[in-house]
Amino acid sequence: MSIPDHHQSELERLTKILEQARGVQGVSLWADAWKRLKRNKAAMFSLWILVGIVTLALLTPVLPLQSPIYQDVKNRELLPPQGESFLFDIQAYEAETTLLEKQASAVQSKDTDEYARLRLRIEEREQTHPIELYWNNPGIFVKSMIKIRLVIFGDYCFPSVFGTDKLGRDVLSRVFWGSRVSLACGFIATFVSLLIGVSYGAISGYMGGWVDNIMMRIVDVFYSIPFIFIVIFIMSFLSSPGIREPLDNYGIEQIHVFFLLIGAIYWLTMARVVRGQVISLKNEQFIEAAKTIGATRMQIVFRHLVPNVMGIVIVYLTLTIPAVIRFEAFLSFLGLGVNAPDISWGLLVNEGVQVITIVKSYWWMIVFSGMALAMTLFALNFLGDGVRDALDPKLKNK
Amino acid sequence: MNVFIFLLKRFGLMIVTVWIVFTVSFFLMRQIPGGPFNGERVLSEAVRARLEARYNLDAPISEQYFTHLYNTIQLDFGPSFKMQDFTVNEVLAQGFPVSAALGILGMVFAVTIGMTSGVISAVHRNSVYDYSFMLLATLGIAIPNFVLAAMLIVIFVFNLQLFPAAGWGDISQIILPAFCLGAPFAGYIARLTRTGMLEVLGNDYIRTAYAKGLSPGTVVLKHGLRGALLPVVSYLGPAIAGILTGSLVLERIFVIPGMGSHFIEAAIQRDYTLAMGALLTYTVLLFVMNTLVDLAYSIIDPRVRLE
Amino acid sequence: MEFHTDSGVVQAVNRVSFDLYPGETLGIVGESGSGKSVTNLTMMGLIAQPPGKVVGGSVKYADRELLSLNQKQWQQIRGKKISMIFQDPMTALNPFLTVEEQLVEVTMLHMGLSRTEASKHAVELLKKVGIPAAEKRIRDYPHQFSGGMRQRVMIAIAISCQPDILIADEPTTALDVTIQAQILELMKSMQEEFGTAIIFITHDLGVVASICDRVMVMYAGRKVELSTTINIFRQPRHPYTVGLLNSAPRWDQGEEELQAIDGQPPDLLDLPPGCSFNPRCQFVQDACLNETPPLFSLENEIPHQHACLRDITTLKEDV
Repeated sequence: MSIPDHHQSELERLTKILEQARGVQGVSLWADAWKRLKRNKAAMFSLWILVGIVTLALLTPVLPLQSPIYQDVKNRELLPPQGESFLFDIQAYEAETTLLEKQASAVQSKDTDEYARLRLRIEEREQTHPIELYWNNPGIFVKSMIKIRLVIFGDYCFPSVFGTDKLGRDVLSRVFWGSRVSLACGFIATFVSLLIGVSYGAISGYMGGWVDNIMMRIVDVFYSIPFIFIVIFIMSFLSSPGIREPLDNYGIEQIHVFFLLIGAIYWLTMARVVRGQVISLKNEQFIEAAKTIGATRMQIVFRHLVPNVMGIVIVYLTLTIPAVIRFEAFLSFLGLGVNAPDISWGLLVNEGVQVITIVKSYWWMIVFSGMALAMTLFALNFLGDGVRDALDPKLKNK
Repeated sequence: MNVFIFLLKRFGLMIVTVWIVFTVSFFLMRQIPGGPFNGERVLSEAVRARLEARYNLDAPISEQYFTHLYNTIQLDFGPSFKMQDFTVNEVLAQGFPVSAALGILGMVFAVTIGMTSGVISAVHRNSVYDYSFMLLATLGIAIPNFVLAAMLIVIFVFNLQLFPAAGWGDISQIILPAFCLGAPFAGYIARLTRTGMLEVLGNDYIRTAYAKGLSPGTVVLKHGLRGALLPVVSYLGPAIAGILTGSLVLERIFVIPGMGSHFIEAAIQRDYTLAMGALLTYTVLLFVMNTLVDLAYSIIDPRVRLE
Repeated sequence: MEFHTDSGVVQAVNRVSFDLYPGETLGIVGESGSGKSVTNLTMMGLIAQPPGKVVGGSVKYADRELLSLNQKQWQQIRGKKISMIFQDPMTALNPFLTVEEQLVEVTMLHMGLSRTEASKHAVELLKKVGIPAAEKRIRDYPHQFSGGMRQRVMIAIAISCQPDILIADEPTTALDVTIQAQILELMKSMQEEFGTAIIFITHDLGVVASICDRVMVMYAGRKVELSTTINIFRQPRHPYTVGLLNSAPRWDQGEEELQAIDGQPPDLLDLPPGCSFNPRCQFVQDACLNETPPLFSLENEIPHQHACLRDITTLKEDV
């Protein structure tokens, strides 16, 4: 079969165009923004600090820290920062258990009564294992990380370089464990607000008309409600025994409700911002194109519109995360957020403020947890400014 | 006339909001199984019955709701659950002036410091002043006020011994809490003023002002500042809300007997009537403040029409 | 006159010289970015430094060197001796101040009037520029005026101290055609009354023809031609001027099709060597690619300056 001449040349032409197209390196918005962000030294520095903080928080269970909750009022009450290292007694405990196990296997075939008695003791010892004592109700994952830590570092614990608190607990360890709750709250609550805000705003903006009108009126009314006070009210309500017990029975901890609650009040601005973007986008040609190939409304909203508002959403996220972390700290500081034995930075600062007396200011109780919180928020703010500048098309090419 | 209609509309919206807040918190309160006297020390049946009668808890819930609503409309929040010799009104009346003094001072501080440094930063753009002011502003925004307060107490009260640690009544006792209260907002205002000012100074009418032969000072302060004020004024609404929440913490740290400490105390102690009274007061306060801010905005910018 | 930008140094205006006589109107014509506005902002000392920088040259007003003035001395000149009207009356007036405030601040500053005197003076000025019910409207804000009325207010501000020079930077571009004519009429009558010299910056040759005594044509920051209006229209000597004339509709050329000038105005960061106009010139020859053309002055009874290596009056017929 032969291809007619003009077809041949057409083919060549198209092949050439295709080749050229492959050669063109598209610079996406994100690559462009990343390039600009990398030039911003303050933002990059903040980014590395945050990566460090998050990594440390994630690795906390395998670090050779002291117990965050073990109390020793008699010997270790409010000790100033010091370099003396501390030892757990876990190895001795486990050695004893191992001894019992050996005894058990020795008598296993001879004396079944003695064997059952020993097994029972071993099981009891598993229940009262120091891990349960030194760490607050660790989940399976955290528990295995702690076991890894015990294998690597044994009984060794880093000295109390941040001092100890009123109950003799190690402040360094508490700051590390507290970071997990504070950061988790920041991310989970922000994610909740993101889900609600983006869906609400996108639907409202895309639907338009009376639906949009009603949805935005609702947002307006919500705006004028002082949510922070209401959250305080609800938290106090949640902590009342009559409410807390049934929730506990369902396996819902107060802290989870708390995360959701914070997330649920931070979605308003997000919804407004997304709605505005969607309205300006929905008449663009690619939406028309999607309609003509028969995309459903929901497909258009969530497959075509939402990805295109991600830029502004990310800018807003950088504002929300520090705001949420600050709010959690604020509530915990007031005693209305995270409750003992959970730990968060706000709670730690509160403990620090409470031991201030006329006679003495146990400064290490305030300074370290306060600095950790301030440094994280400071870095998040700087990074947020950097991201905003990087994604702001107005500043492009400058 | 315009203003009158605007105020009327706002008032209507406020009533709706307050009603929603009232209803939601009322039913939340009544959700607690067994009423608010559970979980404390065990009460004898007789004492409980007397208490419930005193707080009108023995009536059917709809009747309770309407009685409570009726009383609230008459600005009677009823007796406090936990401070049994006081009514909620008495507690609030005592705390309000204290909180107001603290809040106003904090706000004045935030606006003066924030605007001054913002204008200086904008006029001397990219100078040492600019960089250091903006660094301080970001610090002020990032550090939560209770962390700032705690650190300042360690420094100024214990190490330098310049201020008393806590209490109320003396000028020296109000400076530190007001500073901590205003600091984050001073930071925001400084940044807003700077950006606003830079934007305004790029406007054509600034060039016109220079072309008239006005001095740089006159140009910046007379022609520039008004435009730069707008973002600051629209930020005042959220700032006032922030000052109110900020005072919750600072009153607690500095042991100031204001409305904030009463509210937190009430929330922790589950003193629902007091908490609800404070909540409604805060709602109204925010509304009034936001309305005033909108009015101020329309005065500064003649192009804005009240809606 | 240079601008230091991130992408390099831009020579916005280069070797532009002209004289301005009392009571005359000089038109400055050129495409966007040709340096018209920068020339005049320099004359007012209004270039922001940095990024702008006056590298050399001289601006003389009544035998006084303006470029060496300090801030205080400049303030004595601006608004009093030399004043300015801008292109967009929507943005050139301060939206936050009443028209009265914006009028009186000039006369109070330069003429030492009290507020009541200045206020009276302002009402008279507004009447003069044709604002109806001036006594009442003086308390209005700029956004309450229409575009044409705002430009009248701008003119009132500019002439309030009876300046010797009025620089009008495209004062009619943003206005409707009918309003344009009214504003031009107003400027002419003001000029007659006060004897003010006007520098009229525009790219609209129709406006030039109706108001200017002389015209200077600018291209890429340079003066390419300067002569009387009649001369420029009758006998243009620079190909760019010819292009400009051909691209504007003229009553005397009937139904002939308008010709656009091919190509784009040059990037000031990257000017072609030789004559800046060479990539777009239809008469280009080898010399134009290497040599920056000097300014030729023809001293006939009507002085005529142009910067082209070729005498296009003779070439025109060949094309």
